[in-house]
Amino acid sequence: MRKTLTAVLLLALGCALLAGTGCLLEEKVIEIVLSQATCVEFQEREDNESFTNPETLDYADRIDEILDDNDLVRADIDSMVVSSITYEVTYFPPPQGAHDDWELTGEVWIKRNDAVVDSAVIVDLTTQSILDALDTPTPADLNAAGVAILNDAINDYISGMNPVLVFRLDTTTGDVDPDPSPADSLIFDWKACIKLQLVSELELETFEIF
Amino acid sequence: MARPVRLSARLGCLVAVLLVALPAAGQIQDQLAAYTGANAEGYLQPLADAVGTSLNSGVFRSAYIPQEGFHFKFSMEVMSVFFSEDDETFDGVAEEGFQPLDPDGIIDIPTVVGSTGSVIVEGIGGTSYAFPGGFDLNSFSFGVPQITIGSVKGTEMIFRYFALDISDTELGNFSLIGLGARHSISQYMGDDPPLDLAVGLMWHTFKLGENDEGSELIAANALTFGIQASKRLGEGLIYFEPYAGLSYDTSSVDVEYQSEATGDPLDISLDLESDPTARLTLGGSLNIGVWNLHTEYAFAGQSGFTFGTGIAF
Repeated sequence: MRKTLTAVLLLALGCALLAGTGCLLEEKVIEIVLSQATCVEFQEREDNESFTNPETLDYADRIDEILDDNDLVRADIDSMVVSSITYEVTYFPPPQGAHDDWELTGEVWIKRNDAVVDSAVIVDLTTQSILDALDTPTPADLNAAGVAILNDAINDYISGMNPVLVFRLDTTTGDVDPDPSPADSLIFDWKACIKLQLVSELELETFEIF
Repeated sequence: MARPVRLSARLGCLVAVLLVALPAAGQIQDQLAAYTGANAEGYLQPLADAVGTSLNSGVFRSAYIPQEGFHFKFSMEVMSVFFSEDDETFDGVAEEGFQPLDPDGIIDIPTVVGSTGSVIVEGIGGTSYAFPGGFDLNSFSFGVPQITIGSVKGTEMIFRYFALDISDTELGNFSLIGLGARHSISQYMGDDPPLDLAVGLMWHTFKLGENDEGSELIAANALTFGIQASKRLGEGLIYFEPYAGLSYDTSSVDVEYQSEATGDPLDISLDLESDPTARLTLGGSLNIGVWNLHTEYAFAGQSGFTFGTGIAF
């Protein structure tokens, strides 16, 4: 019995000593990546083939919401990148004419409302079928000049500014097939989603014996 | 600016002894959220291999099993696996929607044990993709209590069990169950065999963490079977016993989590099978009365070191 008690005490002491040597905890700073999307929605109700309808996106406000949902604040962001942009038709009633689809050729433009920055094309559309994009997130054909405006807006946000963006679908230099008319209106809703990745740092303690 | 997260692994150094080296399961889930499919597998594979290797370690410290009579052993085993440079990175693939400038250029992406820094890959049209960092681990260690009970006809049973409900912390829940048996071969070799021989088998199941759906984040199974040899050197209450073993190990790890790589929540289920491996174990055991101290090194696909201490009656 005495030998048993001695052995158990030695075992417990061994564990305590091993554990008590600073507990072998090491502080590390890890870069975590948060992937989120923010979308801007459009409604098109058009009677002719040339149209351009702007929609405003309070970029700062949207990013603030993303951060808040993830218990982060602006100061926690080390960097942010745009990883992709998709568009998707969310509402498309059957056309009134003798056809079941429209094809659009045009551009999506982007500009800043809070800064003096030239607008630029961000997405090129080439004979895009409305039906094909219905409920189908479609990777956008991106234009670097337009993405640069997005990236600059991100950098301005991180440095404390509150960027506001304006997007517009412009077919004035493109084409809509067949031509819409008052008797056969082009009606659809769509959204463009910007996939963002936020890089932040997290302090963590890991326990390693070796 | 880094946000401090004080891991609840600080709860008691005794718990830390048992749950060594495992980064917060919750933080692993956060890192995984950036990945789907192939990238998640590449990110996690080194840890999956380490979990399997650790589970299959430290099962025995002597090939001597009495033919009959009650004996009982209680020990605390700590198994460690060392990561190599090859474990620190993997070759990634483009996540859905991202179009890299060079599809073959997504290389040297940190695994879960790799560098803490994220890797940014340039894409077309001015886009970029950030692959998250790892936890910069040199090793993975695992502690577990073990009970051995025998013997009937030279056969003993081995049990491992530990469970901890710390679901209010980033670590989540943890449970481990191990069942095994060993049978003496040297009992058939006469009254004074040149060394002790035994065969054994051990099975483990391990669960860690909780995903957003409420089920386990990580669930692992491991199986090892093999032959063991040892030789007692010394007489009476104090003796040294070198031992060796040759075994065949298999393991698999299932991971379930929710990815946000596409921007919308996506349930991901991974089945990470580790390559079956042969293992050579070399160790030594010091016995002083009822107290035992042992240590061993295993040569396998992932090499590892085990030490433990216990009492035996």
